[in-house]
Amino acid sequence: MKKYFEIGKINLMNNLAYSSEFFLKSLFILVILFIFVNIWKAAYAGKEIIDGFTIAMIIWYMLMTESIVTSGSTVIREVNADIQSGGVAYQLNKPYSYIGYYFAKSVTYKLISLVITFGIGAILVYLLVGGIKVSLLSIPLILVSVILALILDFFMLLCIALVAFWFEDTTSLRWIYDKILFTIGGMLVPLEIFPAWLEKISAVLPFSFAVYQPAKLFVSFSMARFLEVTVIQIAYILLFAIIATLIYKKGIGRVTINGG
Amino acid sequence: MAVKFFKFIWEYFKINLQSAMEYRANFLTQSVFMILNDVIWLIFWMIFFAKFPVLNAWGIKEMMIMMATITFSWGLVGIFFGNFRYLAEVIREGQLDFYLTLPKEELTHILVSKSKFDAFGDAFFGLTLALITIPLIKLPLFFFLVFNSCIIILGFAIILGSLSFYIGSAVEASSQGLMGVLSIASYPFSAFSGYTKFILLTLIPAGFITGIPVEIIRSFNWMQIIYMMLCAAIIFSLAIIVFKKGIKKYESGNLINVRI
Amino acid sequence: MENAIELKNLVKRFKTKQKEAGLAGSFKSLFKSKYKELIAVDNVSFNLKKGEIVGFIGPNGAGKSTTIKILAGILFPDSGDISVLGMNPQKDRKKLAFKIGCVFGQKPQLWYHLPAIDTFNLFSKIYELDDEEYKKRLDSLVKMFEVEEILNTPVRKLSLGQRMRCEIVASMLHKPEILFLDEPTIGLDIVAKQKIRELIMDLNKKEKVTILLTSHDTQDIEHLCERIIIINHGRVVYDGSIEKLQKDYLSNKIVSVKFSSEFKGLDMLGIRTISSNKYSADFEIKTEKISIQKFIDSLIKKYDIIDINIAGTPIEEVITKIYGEK
Repeated sequence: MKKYFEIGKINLMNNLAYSSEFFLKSLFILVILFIFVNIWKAAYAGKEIIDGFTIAMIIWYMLMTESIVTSGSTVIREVNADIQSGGVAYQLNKPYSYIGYYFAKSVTYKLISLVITFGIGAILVYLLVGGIKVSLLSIPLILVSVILALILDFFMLLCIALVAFWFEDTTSLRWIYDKILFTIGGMLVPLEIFPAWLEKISAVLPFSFAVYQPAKLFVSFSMARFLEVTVIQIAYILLFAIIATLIYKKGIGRVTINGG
Repeated sequence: MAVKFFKFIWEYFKINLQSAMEYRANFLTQSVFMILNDVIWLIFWMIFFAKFPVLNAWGIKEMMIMMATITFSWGLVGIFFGNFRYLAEVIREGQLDFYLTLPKEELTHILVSKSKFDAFGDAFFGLTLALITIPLIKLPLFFFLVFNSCIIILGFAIILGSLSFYIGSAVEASSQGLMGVLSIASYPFSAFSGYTKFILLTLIPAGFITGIPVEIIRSFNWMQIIYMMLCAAIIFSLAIIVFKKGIKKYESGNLINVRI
Repeated sequence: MENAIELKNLVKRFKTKQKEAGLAGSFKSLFKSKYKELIAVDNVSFNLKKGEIVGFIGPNGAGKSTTIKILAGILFPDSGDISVLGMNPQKDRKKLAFKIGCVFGQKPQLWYHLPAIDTFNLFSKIYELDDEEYKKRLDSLVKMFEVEEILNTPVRKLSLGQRMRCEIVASMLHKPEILFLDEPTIGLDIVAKQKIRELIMDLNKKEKVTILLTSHDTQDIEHLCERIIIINHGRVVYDGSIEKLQKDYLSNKIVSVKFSSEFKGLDMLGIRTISSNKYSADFEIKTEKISIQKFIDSLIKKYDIIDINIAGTPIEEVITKIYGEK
């Protein structure tokens, strides 16, 4: 366990060396938020509340979803490169699990990124649309939900990245994954905006649990929903972790047979 | 000299195409995935505009023209100047040395030496959408506007990529930045007004990439055309300056990450 | 002009960012940047005559790559007079690029996924070669480097040796007057190395191209170069004929032997025992004075050998010796 902490620490130092990256990320989230304040104002056209969301709520919702989705690191590119170059074979004789290594690396990065971008974004959002009601007691629970969402996203992305064992380039898959998160994952608009049939489907698929659910809990918390969401998040995490491990094992077998 | 320039680009395009044919499967997968990607985006907006039919005088038709513009422009740049997204990486990895030992202008050489397969998908989607939604007479205008947008995209990409000369590792930042502009240029421009609109027509010229072109196609306006061309000229000149200055810095060896 | 390259008082310094170790150090470096200055090239001067093959060696970080990059126009010096083929690489980089060729062993020029012929054709366009002349040139180079068979094979499928031959062909298509070869035999097996050396030798004889060769393999230098420049800590510590160097240092061999019986010393002319244990010993053989054959013959007469290893004097040692003498 300790070695993963060390990996996380080294990664943190590595990332602090590139502090400019985080600032620029925040800048772009700010820009996107600007855009959506405009789009929603135009869409609401004077109405106070649509599908349970006020404009303020929907913007805070978006800050959360944006911070979650843009927290991404270069995991996919790195895993891809590792597999392409055959370097993954060299990782086999290291005393830590390959997946565990990337898990530690990725999740620490995402958490830092999320905290920084959310913090900076929060200032702007408050200035633009004011605050929303969030009960103090719900905050730690929301944090739990967010962290689970990051972990779920990691494993889903990892499954995609590991497909590189069979396909040359997985960035196209990544683009589709991103678009799915943007749309039925709920990053751009909360699922309530969709027609009923789409809302139902999206609410069941894993993508909304990596984006929509924690953000919805943030702007309108309910204990019942929190418990329900947490259970499903953990279930999906386990599912994708198992899938990733299976893909990895199969892929590694392939590498060692073909000699990279 | 201009003839030589275009010939150079054409020669590289041919060799890039050969590479694509060499990897037919990869080429097809990536371009098809990109088309799929774009279709998902289109469907999303159709759903959004189904719920909110009018956004400040824009409807789904305007949105479709906008999508056609951005995907076609982005696609063309990716086909002919495919390395435009990776300038920062080229610099950081020291690949610049290779280009510097050759007798061609480095910037052009770097940009044309790659052709993105998925860009073919974008271009195909954009062109098809344009043919469906834009009346035949207005097509020449559309192509002219697309050409302009390409220059703006290229210029912006060069500026961001050249940051790598000045900031330690601008790879993440420049890729985020570019994706940021791409994202912004993918949202209904009509939603913007006031300060935001101003920014999108100056600092982050996303407005000129898609917003203005759509307006021009809707109702021809000489002033807007001139503004567009001016914007393209300014951004591109700035791009050249930033790059040339950066490469001087590189050649004096004072980069933090130079590999001796 | 007699000289292909004229270098006088070349100086190049680098500033590197200093960071303290640990987490606290990372935080500190966010706010204050400390720089350390490194002198990579410290007053280097030498001239290369047209048609010479010169070996340019030194340990890692000695300033070799920096100097070559400056000569190729990739890096700008802080001070010094440089003339490459009568041009200043800094000012006339593109003009100069038409006349120089570079092969960096670690950074390939050939497009990885395509057959070499495609890169050759691309280069002919880049160097603006006349079609007819290019075809003739390609033919003769291809024959010379014996790559007819592999012209249409994707580069990624070629062996390292084949790849290197194609790399050199690519760098010679435009008939450069100077060729910078940086580690051209790196990673190659002995047979491939021999082949490359022969080809480079041929090239120099036929085309009279000036060659500046860097390599960590002293055999490369021994076989190809008449003159050698040794650089260490940014300074030239030796610039002279290889004969003299060979006589003094490179013809020494280090032989490590393991015995099954106790080693009680060896006293022979031209042999110096560097170190010894009960069952092993290291010797320095001056092959000028005594051949390896003779040495082993004598050794076997006295002792039973389990294992024997023969190595050349490592370049670092040569340099230390020379540097020490200075």
